[in-house]
Amino acid sequence: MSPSARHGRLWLPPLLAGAALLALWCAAIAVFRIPKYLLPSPTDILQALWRERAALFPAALRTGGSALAGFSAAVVGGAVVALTLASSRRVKAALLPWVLMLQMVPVVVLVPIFVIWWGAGLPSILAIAFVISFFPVVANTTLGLVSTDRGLLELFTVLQARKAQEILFLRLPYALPYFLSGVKIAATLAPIGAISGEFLAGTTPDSLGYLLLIYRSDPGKMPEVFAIALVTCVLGFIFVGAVQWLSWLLLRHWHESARSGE
Amino acid sequence: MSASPPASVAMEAVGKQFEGGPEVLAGVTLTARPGDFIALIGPSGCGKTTLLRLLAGLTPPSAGAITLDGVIPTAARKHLSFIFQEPTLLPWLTAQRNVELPLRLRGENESVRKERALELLKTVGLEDAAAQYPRQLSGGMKMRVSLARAMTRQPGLLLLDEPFAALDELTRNRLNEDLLRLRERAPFTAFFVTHSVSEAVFLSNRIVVLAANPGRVAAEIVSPFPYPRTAELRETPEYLQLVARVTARLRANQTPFENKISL
Repeated sequence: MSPSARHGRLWLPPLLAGAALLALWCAAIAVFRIPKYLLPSPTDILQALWRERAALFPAALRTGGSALAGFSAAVVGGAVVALTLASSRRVKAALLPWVLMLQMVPVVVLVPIFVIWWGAGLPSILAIAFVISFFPVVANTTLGLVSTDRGLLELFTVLQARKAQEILFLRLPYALPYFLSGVKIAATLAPIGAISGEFLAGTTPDSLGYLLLIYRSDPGKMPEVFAIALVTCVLGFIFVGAVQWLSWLLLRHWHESARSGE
Repeated sequence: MSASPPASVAMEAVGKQFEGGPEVLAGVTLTARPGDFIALIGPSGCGKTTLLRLLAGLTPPSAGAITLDGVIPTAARKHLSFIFQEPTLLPWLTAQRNVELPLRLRGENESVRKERALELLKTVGLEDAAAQYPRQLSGGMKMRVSLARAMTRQPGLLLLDEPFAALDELTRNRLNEDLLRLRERAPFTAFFVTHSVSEAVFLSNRIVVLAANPGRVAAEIVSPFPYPRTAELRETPEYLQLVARVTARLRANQTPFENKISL
């Protein structure tokens, strides 16, 4: 099979499924006469997207920026915390249960706390984007750092590697795929965190979350609400796509996760 | 960096018992003269691998004393290399970088490392695979890289833990020949754990048969064929006779163990 034919095979099924779903959607609206304020049609949504482009585009940039800031802090902070946890068995045993327990606290509970601490607005929004994407990085990276292959560790012992060399040449590269899979989860969560933060603690109408708040109060703006859903989807895809690409770049030579279509 | 001369090894009444476990080794007394190639052979659970790990200082003995050129194993690490059952290559490094690893950890500079690694890859027939990653290599090629890596340290003592067990017969034979060729270039003392009698006879000058429960030396058989040995040795009647003799000895010491199980 030629490469282009193989590409066709790869792209065709999701495209067909998507087209079928859209057709079903339109048909359902026509057959059951579903009003626009309950379920707008795809064309309604695209029209709303175009109509509101002056508001939606800058808002998406702002939300994306907040998500990126929270995400970056989560990646750096998560890696640092994971390194600390993995530094000794005792530290990990003492701290890991508490870290995991913090993860159990739902974001809705954290919002009022953050708002009381820092007031509504950007600091609270960034904190929410950070918190929601922080834990997957910590959990995955810690796992990677403590599951180094025993045979390789013994090799390093026999080779008289110093502790720093063992970390630099063995433990860190070994943990890289784990770290990246944590980062990938964080990338899907950060935009969700940012938009939730804006919805719950936003103060200015220049972000997706806050726009959502405005649109949903007007029953005629249901297509706009759906347009925001669409924009958020795109935002998430950009985040995950970037991480996926970086991950492929770093792991393509050696890790199974970066090996596809071979 | 200088080559270590072949080491001498002395084990005096060595015993090993893991915490709360059975005695793995008891009263093992064994000495290796510089340049000896000792094959360790015996049933599963006779402590062959443990003996090797004791020699590498990866675990301490619970009785007796071990010295390599007069010092304890952990102090002699500089002079020894260990080849594990698995190739234990770092998957994120190319074959060449993997071979360079011991020198890199020792702080050797880039050009020295590269030159040495390429030279060793050539001796194991992998000069064309220098830039490949482990996952692109076959099992036999990976083991060759592992072999080349062990030789970068120019060890005085080489410890091999069933390194070729996972390979097919043909590849295994070829690697046996490679190993002996490397030994001609840079002599070392070797302890080689194996389940294969023919491999033991082909490689070593002394075959130590171990018995299990607890692991101990049951017999020692000399493989008298002069080095350098080549593939043709495997065709000679003397070689085949010795393989049969070692096999018989091995079976003789396995029988009571099997009887015990059937009771």
